Amino acid sequence: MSIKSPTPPRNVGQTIAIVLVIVGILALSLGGYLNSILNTALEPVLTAQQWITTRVEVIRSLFGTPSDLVLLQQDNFNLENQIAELQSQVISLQQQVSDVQILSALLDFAQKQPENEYKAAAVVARDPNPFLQFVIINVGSDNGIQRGMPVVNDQGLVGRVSQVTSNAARVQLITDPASTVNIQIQPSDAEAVLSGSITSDLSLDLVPQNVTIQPGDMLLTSGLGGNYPSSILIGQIVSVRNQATALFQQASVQPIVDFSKLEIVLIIVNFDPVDFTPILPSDEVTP
Amino acid sequence: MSTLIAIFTLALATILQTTIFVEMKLLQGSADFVLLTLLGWILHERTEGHWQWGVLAGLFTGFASELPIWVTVFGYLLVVLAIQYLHSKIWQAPMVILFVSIIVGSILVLFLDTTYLVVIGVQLPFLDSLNLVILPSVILNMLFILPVYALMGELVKISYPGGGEI
Repeated sequence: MSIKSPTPPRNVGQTIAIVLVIVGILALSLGGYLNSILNTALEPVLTAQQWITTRVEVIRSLFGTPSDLVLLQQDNFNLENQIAELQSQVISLQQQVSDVQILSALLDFAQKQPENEYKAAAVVARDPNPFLQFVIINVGSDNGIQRGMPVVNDQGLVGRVSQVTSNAARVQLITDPASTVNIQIQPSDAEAVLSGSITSDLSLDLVPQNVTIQPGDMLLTSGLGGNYPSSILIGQIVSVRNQATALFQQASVQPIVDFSKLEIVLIIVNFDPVDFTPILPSDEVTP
Repeated sequence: MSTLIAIFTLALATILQTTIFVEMKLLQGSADFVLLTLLGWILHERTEGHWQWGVLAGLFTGFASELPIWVTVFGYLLVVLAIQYLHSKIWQAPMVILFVSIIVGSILVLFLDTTYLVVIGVQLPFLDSLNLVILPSVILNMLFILPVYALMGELVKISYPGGGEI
C-alpha cells in the first residue's frame, strides 16, 4: 500500500506564477507603462459606448419629449415673467436714482443758502398755450405756497409763483414773454432788466452805454423791485448788441437752468414779495 | 349724453395736452390736442352738442392755462361757429373740410390768444409769433388731425351706434 502527498507541487508553482504575473502587471500599471496599451484597447470600447449612448438618448427623448416640452414651456413662461418683473424693477430703480440725484442736488443747493426756507415741488404739467411759459407744480396754499414766491432749482432761478390753488400752483418761468427780472451783472456790478420772449430766449435790456459788458459775464438777481431775493444765479451773457446811437446796450443771455427738463423745483417760502401798488399813483397802475 | 362724453373726452385731451403734446414742439409751436378733439367730434355728421363741446373745451383749457377762461371759451366757440359755417359751404368734400377746419380753427384760436396778450402788454413781435408759433402749430395740427379724427370716429360709433359718417 502506497501513501500519496496531499498537495501536488505543480499547483503551487502555478499559483506563484499567477501571483507574480499579477504583481508584475500592477507594477507596470502603477509605473504608467500600460497606459498606451490600455488607451488603445479601450478606445473602440469607448467609441461603441458613445455611439450606443447617443442613440439611447435620442430614443429616450423621443418618448419623453411631450412631458419635457410642457415643463420647458412652464419654465420659459416663469422666466419670462421674472424678466418682465426685473425689467420693471430696473426702470423703477433708475427713476428712483434719477429722483435721488435731483433731490440730492437740491439739498446741496438748499444747504449752501441756509438763509432761505425751501419747499420742494414736482412739475406736473405745462401751460398748453405755446405763447406762454408757465408750469404747474404739485404744491399749493395748503403747503404754505403764496403768490409771488420765487422758484429755483439746484442750478439757479426758475421763476415765480403766479397763481395758487389749494394743492397746486402755477409758476411763471423767467423765459415767459411777460417776465422781467431785475439783475446784476458780474463782475461789472451794473444793473439791468432781463426779459423773456416767445422763443424762450432771455435778453438783457436797459444796460447803460458806459458799462462794459462782454460774453461770459454772469447774471444774478439784484433784488430790486422786491420780486426776487438777491444773488440768485440766472445765466451768462452770450452776445452783446451795442449800437452807438442807442441809449442802452442789449445782450442775449444763456440761462443756467435747462427749462426743458424741469422736474423738481424749490419754492423759497420765507420770501415776501414787495407790493408797490399802494404807493403808486392810481393812473399809473398797470394791469 | 353728449355733454357727459365731452367732459370725459376733453378732460383727457387737456391732460394729454399739458403733459405730452406741449412737449412735442416744432420751433416754438405745439399741437392743440383739445382743439383737435373738438374738431374730431363736431366734424362727424351725426354728433350733437357742438356748442357744449366748445364751451367745455374752453373751460378745460382756460383752467390749465394762464390765459383767462373767457378768452379760451370765446376762442373755441368762435371755432365752432366757423366750422358750422364752413360745413354748410364745403359739405361735399370731407377731407377738404377737415384740413380747412383745422387751419381756420388753429389760426382763429392762436390769433385771439396773440391779440389778448398784446392788449395786456406782452411783447409779442408779430412776425416772430407768426413764423415761430402760429405756422408751426398749424402744421402740427394738420399732422395730427387725421389720426385724431379717426379716433373720434370710433368714439362717435360707440356713442351713436348704427349710422353713417360724413
